[in-house]
Amino acid sequence: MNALGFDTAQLGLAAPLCIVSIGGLVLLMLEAFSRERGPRTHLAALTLVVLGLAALAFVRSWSAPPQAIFHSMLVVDRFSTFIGLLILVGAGLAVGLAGGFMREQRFEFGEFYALVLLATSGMLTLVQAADLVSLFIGLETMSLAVYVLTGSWRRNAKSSEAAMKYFLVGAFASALLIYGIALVYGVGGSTNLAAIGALETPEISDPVFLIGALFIFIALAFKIAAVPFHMWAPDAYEGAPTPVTAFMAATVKAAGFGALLRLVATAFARPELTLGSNGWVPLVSILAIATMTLGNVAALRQESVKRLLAYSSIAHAGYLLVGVAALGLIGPEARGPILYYLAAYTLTTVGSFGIVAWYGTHGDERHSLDDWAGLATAHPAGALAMTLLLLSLGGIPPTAGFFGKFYLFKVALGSPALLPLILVAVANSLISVFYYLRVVTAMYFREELRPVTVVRSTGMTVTLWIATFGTLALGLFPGWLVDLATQASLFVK
Amino acid sequence: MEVDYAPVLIAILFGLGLASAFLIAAMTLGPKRASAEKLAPFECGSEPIGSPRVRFSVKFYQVAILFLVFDIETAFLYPWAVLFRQLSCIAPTCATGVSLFGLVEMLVFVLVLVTALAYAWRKKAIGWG
Amino acid sequence: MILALVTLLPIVGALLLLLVPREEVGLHRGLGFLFALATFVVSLLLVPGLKPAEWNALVDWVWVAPLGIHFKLGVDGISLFLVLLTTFLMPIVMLSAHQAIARKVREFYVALLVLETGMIGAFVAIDLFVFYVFWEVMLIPMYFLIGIWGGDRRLYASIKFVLYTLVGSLAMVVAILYLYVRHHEATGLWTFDYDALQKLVLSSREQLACFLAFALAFCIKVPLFPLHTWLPDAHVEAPTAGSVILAGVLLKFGTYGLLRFAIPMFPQAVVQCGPYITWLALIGIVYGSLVAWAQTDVKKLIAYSSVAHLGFVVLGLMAWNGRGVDGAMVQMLAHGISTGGLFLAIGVLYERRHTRRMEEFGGIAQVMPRFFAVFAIVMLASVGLPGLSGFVGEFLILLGSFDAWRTAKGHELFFGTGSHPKLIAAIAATGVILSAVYLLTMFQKVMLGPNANPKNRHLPDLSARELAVFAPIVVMAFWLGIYPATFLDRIDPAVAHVIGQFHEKATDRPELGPTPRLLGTLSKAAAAAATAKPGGGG
Repeated sequence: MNALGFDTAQLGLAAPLCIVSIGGLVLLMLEAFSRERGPRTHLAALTLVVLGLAALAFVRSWSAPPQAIFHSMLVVDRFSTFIGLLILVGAGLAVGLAGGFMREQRFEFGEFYALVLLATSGMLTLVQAADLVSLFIGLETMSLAVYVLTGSWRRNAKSSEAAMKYFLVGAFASALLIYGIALVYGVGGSTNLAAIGALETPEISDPVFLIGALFIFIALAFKIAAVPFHMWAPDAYEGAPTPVTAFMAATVKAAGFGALLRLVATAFARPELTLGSNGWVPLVSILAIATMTLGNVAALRQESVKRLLAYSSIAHAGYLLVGVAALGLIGPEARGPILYYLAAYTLTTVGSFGIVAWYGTHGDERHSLDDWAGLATAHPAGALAMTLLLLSLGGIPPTAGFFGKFYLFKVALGSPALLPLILVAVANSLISVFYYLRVVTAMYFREELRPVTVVRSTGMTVTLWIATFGTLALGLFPGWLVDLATQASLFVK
Repeated sequence: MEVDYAPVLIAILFGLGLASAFLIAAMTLGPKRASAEKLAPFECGSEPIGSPRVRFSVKFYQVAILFLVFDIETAFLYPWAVLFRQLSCIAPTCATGVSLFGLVEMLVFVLVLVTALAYAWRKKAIGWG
Repeated sequence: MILALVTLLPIVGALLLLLVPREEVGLHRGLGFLFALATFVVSLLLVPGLKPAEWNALVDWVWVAPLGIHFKLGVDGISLFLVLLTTFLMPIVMLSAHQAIARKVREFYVALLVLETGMIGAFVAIDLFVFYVFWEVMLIPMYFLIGIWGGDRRLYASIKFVLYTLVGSLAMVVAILYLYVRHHEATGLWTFDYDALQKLVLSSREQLACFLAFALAFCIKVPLFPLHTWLPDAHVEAPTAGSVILAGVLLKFGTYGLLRFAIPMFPQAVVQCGPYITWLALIGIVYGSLVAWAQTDVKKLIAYSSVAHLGFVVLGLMAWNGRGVDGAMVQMLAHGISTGGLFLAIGVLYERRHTRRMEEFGGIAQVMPRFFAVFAIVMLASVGLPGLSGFVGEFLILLGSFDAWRTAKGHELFFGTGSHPKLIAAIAATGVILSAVYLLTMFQKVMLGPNANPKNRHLPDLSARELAVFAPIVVMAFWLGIYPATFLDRIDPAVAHVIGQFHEKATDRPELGPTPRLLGTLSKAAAAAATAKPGGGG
């Protein structure tokens, strides 16, 4: 204790969050006070430095014991550190994609970098939240920044439309969340997750409490785009500038799952709330089946590669929900595969959307499947990378996506009740391979209909290589990440 | 406890009832003889000019949003001022010394707001020109 | 170490080819061939000192330590010759494709080399995780081979091939995972090791569910009768090189998988399902032959003949005695060589005339005498003429199934109790006759008779390169036919070992202790999933 009224050592533990938030504000000021109207290369570089510093701070806090800080508003543990690092990686890759894309499409949006950092700070708060209030603040900070990013391409009507839809649905979700929090607080008398988790029978069987909890769940289901709360996702993903799509498809989902996993492990961890008629496991199972199936079936019919990937990202939320259901039935060891899956998903998603961003030129984004015909002839490396990423999304070895699914199913097999879910997931993998191969078919087996053009940008190329090699490397050598994910899944406050 | 809210409920019911009663009475009792004149839209007796969907200048929205920001600030500052004494004490007693906690917290908050203000100023969101 | 080298050398070559600029077509051809040849030479090192009934050249590297996954490879008398068949066919295929493949040459050689690694790896993997990974690695290059260099309906054929195969392999991966989790439940040890999982004692319902999942994957690959419809499409659309590899090696994974995994691991389930598989194999033999007879497209004819020939192999496995399984092994090798040769021969004709319709040809023997000789040899090898490769395998299989009832004494017969092995053998024997009918008819229509079509008047005979392609195949066809002992000496002990182990395990009834936690729902649902018919592919 000192003059500030709290242990300043806690600031050290919150360093990643502080670095990213302050970095975001500084970048905002730099953008506001600079006269640069062209490419903001220096801002991009600075963003990467900030993200790198935050990542370093995270790595340093890996060995710290799990603890609550700031009057139990936030929590620092390996679980949040793992997801936090993932989010930083996703943000870094998205930043790498953005410069070249904005230059090519002639919309210089200097606030992009500041907003990415502010959104990231919201996500970090979300995954570190130990209190429903900080959870809400994190969610809002993240969401508001991402709405703006979605609509940042002002001259593009689709981008504005996407932002509008995303904002309206998002605002609805936020309202639900705050309403749910109010109801839970009204019954339980606390917003602290641990305190809610300690509530006993009269409170937790109170219908008002259950409705509140349900609202909180639904709000998070909106954020991770689980069916039937997914309707905003395809439009928002398709309309947003592609690097932003990559960013939000990867990191918003990771942060949403981080918060969801935290909630079910702390506030709603009691057996009465987990299983049975009032439990979240049946709910999550139904969501998982609906999300996987609808996401994949809808993706079958898409003619736009970007929209196809948007639906595929919905489907992936479904696979992850299988893991969440396993968490309720099996216990903390099911968290490891979810974390691994998120890591694989982050790299693969950023990579695949990145290639969508890379393909095309000013005023001519190449999204339709026909446009992808013949890419392999003109750009063998790009086509090969895309093939690898798609195979990873489809779960074909030896890629990260395969190992993620494999690991997830392995743990889920520990409970017989999950078998139907696994079989649905396996059947869905088959469906998904069909539409991923449609893209491969277009790239390799068809002749180009018009000359293939791509964005020339070093930042983009480097980012895409990192994502592709990462996807392959995680598939070939998954052991170390499995170790880290296992550690992260066991050290939860 | 429920009884305390009874007058509120009665007031609401009374309001709803009265309003609906008038509406229903007007719909059922009044004679309806439509003519072209009567069906035409009117504004205080004069002919309507142009589309009812008028585009407002974005400046109005800018002002509204800026107002919102500072309005919220006030909403935060007021309870903070009320609680300032408590925030400046280190628990459990105030005897040992004064804490800067409350002050620093609000400084951070205001600083973030100032950043936003500076951004708005640089982006020429303030002013009408 | 040798084994790891054999497995990984091709993919190293593939990575190297990716670094060579696209325009260097000659370099790609040369390097690709060189790597395939080097792999063959290195794989020959596996032969000396081989102990057929145990794992040789064992490689055991920890791969994913936290999950107990080992990169474990080993070769025995069963997998040895399949590996050799793979490495033997690959340089031949590459040499044969010099003229046929003119575009995307680099991609072609990369795909072939990746495919080779996948095939060799799947043959020698003795960790089920590693096996599955290699099994899937085969899938994508073959998809590309059909899709990029294939015929008019290549898009349809390639996606059909992938989806059919995936239906089976996804069922299989669930079963593999189940065994893995069950093994952990039983022993507390996480492992995918083949030997460890094989020792796992399963209840009969579990066996049935897992067997059906494995068998689905393998029977699609064989392909067994109702699951064969992807094969003609894939063969007809694939380029020659793809067809040769597909028929020569890929189909063998079905029968190899049955012999290595499905039968020894789930003995009770095999006894239960054996009769059905036997009859499906018989139907495959007769149906495949009859449909082949009706074809006008030479390639399609060969494709259906594969259905019949692989039916023989499955029958040999179902006889489950030394002769039958030995015969199945030899037939697998013989089919790889003779059908590979037939596809190469058709490729030669197609390169010259760009058609495969029988009525377009006739009297080719007059203009291409060298080709006539080669084609006649591979065709007769496929028919099963004594002295050529096809004879030994078919004869042993018929012999094996003929006296299956005698050798199975004391053990249960896969053909089913009360079945008549002699009748089964007799039905199968019609396949031998039918194969002579359709192959000789085809040969007569294409090669003999008057050379009436003016387009066929001036076809050039085989070039030196093409002769070099066929020479090893002809040599092997004679070798297998005249002196099969070279092969059988190594196959037979391995087969005897597997059969012995099987009977040991089959008599080892699972104790009726507490039902394992997973058992109930799992086996029921897995059985349901495994029997689900593959969705209308493509």
